[in-house]
Amino acid sequence: MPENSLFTIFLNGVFIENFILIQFLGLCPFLGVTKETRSAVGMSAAVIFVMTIASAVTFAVASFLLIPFNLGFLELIAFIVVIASLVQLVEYIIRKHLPPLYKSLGIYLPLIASNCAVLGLVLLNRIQDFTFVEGIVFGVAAGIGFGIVMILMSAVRERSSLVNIPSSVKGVPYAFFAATMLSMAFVNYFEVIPL
Amino acid sequence: MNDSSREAFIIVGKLVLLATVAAAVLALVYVPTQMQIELNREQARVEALEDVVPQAYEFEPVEGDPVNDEREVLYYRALDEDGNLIGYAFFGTRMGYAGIIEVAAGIDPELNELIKVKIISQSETPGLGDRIKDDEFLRQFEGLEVDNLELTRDTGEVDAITGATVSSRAVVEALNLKIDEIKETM
Amino acid sequence: MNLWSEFLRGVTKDNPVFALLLGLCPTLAVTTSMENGIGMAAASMFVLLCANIIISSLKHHIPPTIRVPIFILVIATFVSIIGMVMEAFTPALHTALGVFVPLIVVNCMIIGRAEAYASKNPVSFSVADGLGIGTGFLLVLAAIGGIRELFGTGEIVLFGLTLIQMPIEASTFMIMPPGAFFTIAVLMALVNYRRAKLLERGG
Repeated sequence: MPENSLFTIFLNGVFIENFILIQFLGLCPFLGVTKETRSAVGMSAAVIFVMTIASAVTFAVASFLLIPFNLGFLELIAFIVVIASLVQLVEYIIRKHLPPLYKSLGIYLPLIASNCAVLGLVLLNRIQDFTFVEGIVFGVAAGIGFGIVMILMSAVRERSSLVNIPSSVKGVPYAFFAATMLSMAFVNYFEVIPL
Repeated sequence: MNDSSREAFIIVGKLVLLATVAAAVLALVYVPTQMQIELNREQARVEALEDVVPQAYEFEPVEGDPVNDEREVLYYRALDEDGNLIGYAFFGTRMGYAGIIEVAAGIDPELNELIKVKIISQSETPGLGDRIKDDEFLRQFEGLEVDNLELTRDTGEVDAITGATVSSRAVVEALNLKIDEIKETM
Repeated sequence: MNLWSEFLRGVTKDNPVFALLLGLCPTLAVTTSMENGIGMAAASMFVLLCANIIISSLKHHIPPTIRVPIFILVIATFVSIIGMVMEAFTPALHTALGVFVPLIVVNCMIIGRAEAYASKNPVSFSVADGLGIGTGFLLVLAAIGGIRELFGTGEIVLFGLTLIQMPIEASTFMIMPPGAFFTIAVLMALVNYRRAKLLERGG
């Protein structure tokens, strides 16, 4: 990759550094909310939304509060507070305007707050020294990549829900086997795309 | 004051108290660890410089134009015991596959031939991308002409590590970028 | 209920990874080598233990309405501390674990234990629980890291010592992300199989 253009950052976020399959961020919802496609879509939408806003807000917090006052060591605590408040906001909006979605997301919505994908994203933004725009692009991309994998996985699990497999493999181990194959596709294991 | 507002007051008070204690503890840990980190960095820098231009007696930092009153060290002039210029040493960074790769390198005074390259820090996949720090890969750079500083598949003479093209290319790019930067300032 | 059985429960029956399905992200992400796995587990164990001690000794002073923010505050403080200490004294390990050191803060394992155990039990038992769960986590991470390193590179190197060398054709597959999913899938299926067998025999 010749330069860090916004487009490469975007592709990186969606595929090359896919949050679930490559970086292993956000495995709880990946296993928990992919039993049916509907809830996977809802969860993904919520995550994309929270990630985009979190990128913007944490950038502001870091560059207007933490860095000027030399409070780098409070970074982690500050970011968690920001994310937790954002999740509360999203939860409130969805409950008020989309009650059916709220029902199907169940306990996973508040769990976005302790979802390592969102915190991981804002930390990665800081580590890679992204600017405001780059951070937002990476946030949207990471959310989309998260969503693609969630939907793929829920389709695989829905389709194969009636397949007869040994009882000890059923459930989580089976999901991990499926994830193995998806992940092989994402790391370009057979070098289908020559890099 | 009624009961509920009293309760709220206590809750807020406790939170504030705990947050203050937490911030104070963190500040206490921050100062000594930060000093140690600075020390580690300084030591690593000196060791790396001595490693990439082994014949050098001392290194003289060359600073760029001041930005916001802060001068950044662009590269180092490697001098022998009599003060003659025997090469340059520099640090370069580039985004690899999993994180930022930082390299150090020594180059001859004409900026034609690399003396030695060393990986300072990287977080590439163990067993795969992190083999950029192995001698097998780095030995290729010793005495390599700058004109051939590209991966073999990109018309150069550096063989990429199998399955870790991105990491290998990042090393090459980090070097090229910095060499170009040095050429520009001369 | 004694301290030793509380400790063992954390390692076996309530194993954080295989039984409770907690802490999966670091389990897969940092186990590219045994050393990284052990380092990650040790850092998590430190945070878990400290958080358990503080929360269990403060449990009568924590108002129930704001207990979760307080838990997170306590955990985040210890995570920040271990992050800074690691960066200063074990820089290589800190770089290798990368973003997963600060991410200990959202490891459900730690807040889960704070909520389910430390906030209801005396300090001594909370210590036993923290040590037990932490050890269970450590064993799993060391095992997965060991398996991936052995088959991925043909040897296990721990703190500069070569433990095992195997004359096999090493496959980078195991080191790459799919290898992590594959290893945990196989291990989890084996654990489930064994558990089912035990149940069968018992009933």
